[in-house]
Order: sequence, then C-alpha cells, then structure tokens
Amino acid sequence: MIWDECLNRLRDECSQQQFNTWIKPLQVKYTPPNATETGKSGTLTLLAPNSAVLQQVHEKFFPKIKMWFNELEGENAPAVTLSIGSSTAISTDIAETVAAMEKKSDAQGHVHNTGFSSYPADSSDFEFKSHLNSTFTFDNFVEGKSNQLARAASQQVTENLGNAYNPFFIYGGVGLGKTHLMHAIGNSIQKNNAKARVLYLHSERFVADMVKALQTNRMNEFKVFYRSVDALLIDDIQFFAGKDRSQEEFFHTFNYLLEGQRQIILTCDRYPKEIQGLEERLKSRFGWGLTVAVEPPELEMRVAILMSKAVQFGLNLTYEVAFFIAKRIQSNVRELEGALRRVMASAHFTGKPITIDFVREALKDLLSLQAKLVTIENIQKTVAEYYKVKTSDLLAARRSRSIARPRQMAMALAKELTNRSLPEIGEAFGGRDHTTVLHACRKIKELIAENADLAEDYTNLLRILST
Amino acid sequence: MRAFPLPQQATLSVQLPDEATFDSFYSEHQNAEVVARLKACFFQEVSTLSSKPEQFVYLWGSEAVGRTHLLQAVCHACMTLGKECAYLPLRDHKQFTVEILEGLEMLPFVCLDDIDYIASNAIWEEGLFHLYNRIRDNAGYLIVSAKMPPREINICLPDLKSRLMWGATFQLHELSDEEKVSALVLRAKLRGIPLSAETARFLVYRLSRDMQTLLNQLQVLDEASLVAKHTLTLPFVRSVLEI
Repeated sequence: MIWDECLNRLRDECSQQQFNTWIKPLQVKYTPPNATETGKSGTLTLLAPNSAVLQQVHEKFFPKIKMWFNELEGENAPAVTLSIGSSTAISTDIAETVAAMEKKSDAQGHVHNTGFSSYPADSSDFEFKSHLNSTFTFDNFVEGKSNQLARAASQQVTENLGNAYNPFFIYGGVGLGKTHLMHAIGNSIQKNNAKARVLYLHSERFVADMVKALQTNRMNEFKVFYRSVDALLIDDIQFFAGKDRSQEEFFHTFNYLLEGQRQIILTCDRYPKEIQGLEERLKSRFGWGLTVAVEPPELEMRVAILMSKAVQFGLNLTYEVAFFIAKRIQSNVRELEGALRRVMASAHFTGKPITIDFVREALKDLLSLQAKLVTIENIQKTVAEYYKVKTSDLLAARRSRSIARPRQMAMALAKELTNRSLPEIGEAFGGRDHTTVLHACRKIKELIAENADLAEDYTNLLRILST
Repeated sequence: MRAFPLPQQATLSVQLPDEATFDSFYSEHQNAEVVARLKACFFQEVSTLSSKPEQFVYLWGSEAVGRTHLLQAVCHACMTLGKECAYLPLRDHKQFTVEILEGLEMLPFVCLDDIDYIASNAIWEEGLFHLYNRIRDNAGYLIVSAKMPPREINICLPDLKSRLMWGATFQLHELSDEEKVSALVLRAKLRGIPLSAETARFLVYRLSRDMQTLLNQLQVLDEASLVAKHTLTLPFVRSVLEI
C-alpha cells in the first residue's frame, strides 16, 4: 500500500523519537471516489490526534508525503489530506446527538466563540454539575520549586484551552496539590466563560456512571454526556487500572474530545508509562500533550503553605510556630493541613494563644506513637535490669530493702501501665495479696514526692517502658 | 439513623445502645476537648450553625477508651435532631462486602468504627478511599475511629492514608483510676442505681481496670440489685461478683 511505503521512507528520514512522536499516532482513512468523480482515485486522509501533531506533520512532513504519493502512483495517486480526527468508530448517532446538542446550545444563545458548547443536559442521571471546588484557585496555590512548572503549565492551559497542552497530565505523590491545580484550572476556565461545561470527577465516578449506564441500557446517554463537555478533568486515573471496559470507553471519549479540541486534564500518582493495568494505547495517548510532575514541598514551602492555610482559616499563626510544625510534618500537604486543623481546634477550645509549647501539646495526639504493649513480665524484667537484681528476687518472699524497693517500683509501674487488676498484679509477684500492691503504689507515690533520686528512677523506667 | 445502608441490611444487625450518648460519656480532664469538639462539630453545628465544623474527624485510642461510645453518641445526637446518620462497625466487615459503602455519602453524617480492621485489605481500602471522596464532594461529615493515629495505622493505599490525615485528629485518652471511679458513679447514676465512690473504687481496684470490663460488671450488678432489691453496698457487690 502506498501509505506503508511512505511510512518506510519516513522511518528512514527522521529519528526514532520523531517518528514515534509525530508519525506513529497518525491514522489513515481512505474515502473512495463517488460516482461523479470517475477516473479519480479517492482521498486518503491522514488523521492527527491533536493540533500539535497536525502542526508538526503539516510543517515538517506533509510536503514530502504529497511528493512521494505523486512519485509512487503518478496520476493514479489518491488525493492526500491532513486533519485532526480518529478512525475509531464513534457511532453516528452519538456524534449526531452531540452535534445536535451543540446546535441547540447555539440556538439558546450561549457563547460559543471559544469552542464551548454549554449544553444543558436533560437527563437526570447525567445531570450536569461541574463538581468544581471553588476554594481551590491559583491565588491560594502556594508555589515553590517543587511545583512551579506544574503551576505555570496549568495557567498556560487555561489561556489556550484545548490547544496548548492537551491532554495535560499532572502526576506526583499523594497530597502534593495535584487536585488543587486541577480545580484551579477548572475554576479559571469557568471564570473566563461562565457557560463553559467543565466537568471535574474522580475516575471512580466515571466507572460508576458507566456501570450504571450499562445496567440501565443507557450507554448512548452516557457517551453523549461525557462527549459534550468543554473540559474534562479526571482525578487519580490510576484507579482505571484493571477496569478494561471503562478504559475502552474512556479511550473513545478521550479521542472524541481531543479531536474536537476539548481540553482534557488528568492526574495520577505516577508517570503514565508506569501505571500497571492500563492499556498501552491509553498510556501512549496520555503522553501526547504535556506531562508535568509535582514533588514534595521543601521546608520553606511547607512553612508558606501553613501561613497561607492559616490565613484561609482565620488563624493567627507566627512564622516560628509554622516553622515548628513544618519541620515535624514532612510527608504531604494534607497532613500539614490536618495538623493546622488540630491546632485550631485546640486553640478554640482552650482560648490560649498559639505558641510553640501549645502546638507541641496539641499535636501530641497526631504525632505520638502508640504506647508499646507493656506486660507485667516485661515490667519485672526491665525493673530488675535497672536495679541490677534478679527477676526471681522480685517474685520471692525476701523483704530486704534492696529487693523490696525495686519490687514496689515494679508493682507501681504495673498498675500505671497495664489494665490488670490489683489482685492479678499481686498474683504475678509471687502470689501476693492485692493490699500489698496497693501499699506498694502508695509508698512509691510518697517517695516520688520526697526523694529526687527515686523520682528520677520512676521517670526513667516509665520512659524505657513506654517508648 | 441507619446502622447500615441498603442493600445488605438483612445480613447485619447493628443496634445503638441507648446508653451511648454524650451525656453518659465521662469527659473530664484529657478527653474534655475531643467531646466538646465533637459536640460542636456534629451537635451544635446542625442546630445552630454557630461554628464551622470539622468535615472529617479521626478519633484514635487504645481498646475500651470509648471510641465506639462517642461515635454512637454522634448518631444519637443526629437522631435527636432528625438528621440521618450511618454507623458502621468495620470490626464486623467480614459479615458484608465492600458494596455496603456505596450510597453512604447520601447521608449527612457517616461514622465508621474500627477502621483498623480493614487496613491492608486492598478492596476495602479502595472502597473507603472512594467513599471519602464522595463524602467530600457531597459536603458530608465523616468520623472514623481506630486504635492508632493516622501515621501509624497500617493502611497501604497512600491516597487513603493522606486523606485520613487531612481532617482533625484527636486521641481519646485512657482514664486514670480516680476518673474511672467517677465514670462508674456517673454511669450508675444514669441507670438510677446509687453507687458510692467507695464501692466504685473497690471495683476499680479489684477488677480488670479497663472501662469495658468495669461497665460490664456494673451491668451485672444492676441486674442483681434489681432481682435482689438490694442497693449496691460493698458486701452485696462482693457476694455478687464473688471477689
């Protein structure tokens, strides 16, 4: 076939990367000549998936392709054209329905000069609601080294919708601001055009909608709904993994929207190629536009995020306190925000000013490790080692001071650190009565108040046993 | 209140004990803040909208510190105000499938008890993650409880773990012995049985000192005192509990 020969020549002429990026995505559609065009050889249309590929192929390769067509087939060569599109079958009725929707939208006087359709959906199941969170904007997105590229690209997307970076793929670890950026783009699009149909959803929602549509035999409505948006924002697309039917449907929706220069924005916890359980054709398409990463915030940025959130919450937070929190919470922005919420709750409850000491106390709930499981046996062993006596001596009948004091200490710690009853504790210390345990606890309490050395022993043992 | 959502309710029987209210929860000292905050979040908020509530609360603490009681107290408070609420004990998650989480986001308040029990279970973790997102989208409220703080809980799905850290986290602290005495006296009073501090102290010192055991024994004593028509004197308590 003539196109195969052209591909061979292109493979020789350009680098592997150029070929994979610009030529491989092209699809070919042949239209035979109609009855009035006797003698002609029909038309071969090269379909580019998006405007970026179209532009590159048009500038760099298309003149050569046309020349090779003439060279290879002479007068019998089919006409060759280049346009955005996909040969993937989109059922005619859906395409027509979407077209009708857009026509209806125009008839209703909606703004359409930026490619927005703004169609009000009729279906109750697929009723249009953007699901955008208006609190996530570019203004309150704290920028730092770790996310400045993603933020700049996001703004570019809103300024050149459907063209600049399509699809726009943001990836990175959890709680680093991907969703914030996504909503910020959506909000910005809506700010520029209130009638734009911007749809934000988590990937799970797409899957759930599709399952529902399949169950109720309303797949066409489902397709029409998702293909009628101006911008489709899907969060956490890694959850498409392993859901083959959803992937297939998303693949068609994706192609349809891209052909129509509708913006697609996706977030993921990893680079597209690394998503396990996702079809290769999807992975490949996710990389057609721009892929940007967001990294964990550095210390200064975490401080800035805390200060910004504090303003949002109406909280008076000093730089020193923000620094104190940011140094201790490094994992992600969500945990930072959670810590700030906890501090705010405590401040409201106690009415105290937010100092470093106050924050240290308030965040104990958040940061403290679970107390080690402490048993009476463990306490006996630790106390015996601490006082350099034998564990068996603690359980024996001996009453000398050198043994009695460690024994009392161990009993007091057993009462403090375990939920065992006093008779149970007494039993564990060589079958002693519960009143002996009670006496030991009172004695140690008295001695802690009077004797600094013993108080220190108690504190040390408590620390050893509970950390 | 829905103790569980459709469609699996036939397989699970969860009932809220009448006693599990805010009033019957002893909350002096260390736990006063968390109780006040929960009341503000879920009780005062729905009645007065006077303070901005926490949409997500993570409650953690060791066994028998009262996590279940507080979650159920939230549900009681909701019922009092005519608000729908779901309480789901994930300790029993093997009795149902993850689909039980579907549709919970339609309720304004959702309480998930003992989420530790679904930790490291990939299907349940993903189900909980999606539920969290849906509740967030619907501006609902979610309270979860666990034995460990969010940093320490053995959740494998990082997306879920970070979301659990997002809300306000509170630790429920174990009561001191004297607080346990006061808690027993309070609970006995609410049951209409006089219990002296001396008798309560006797129970604390002679029984296993976790609150669940103490409250179970109080229940035993309550029933015995009703049958014998006898007040809870020390000799009576000794003879009933054989200690």
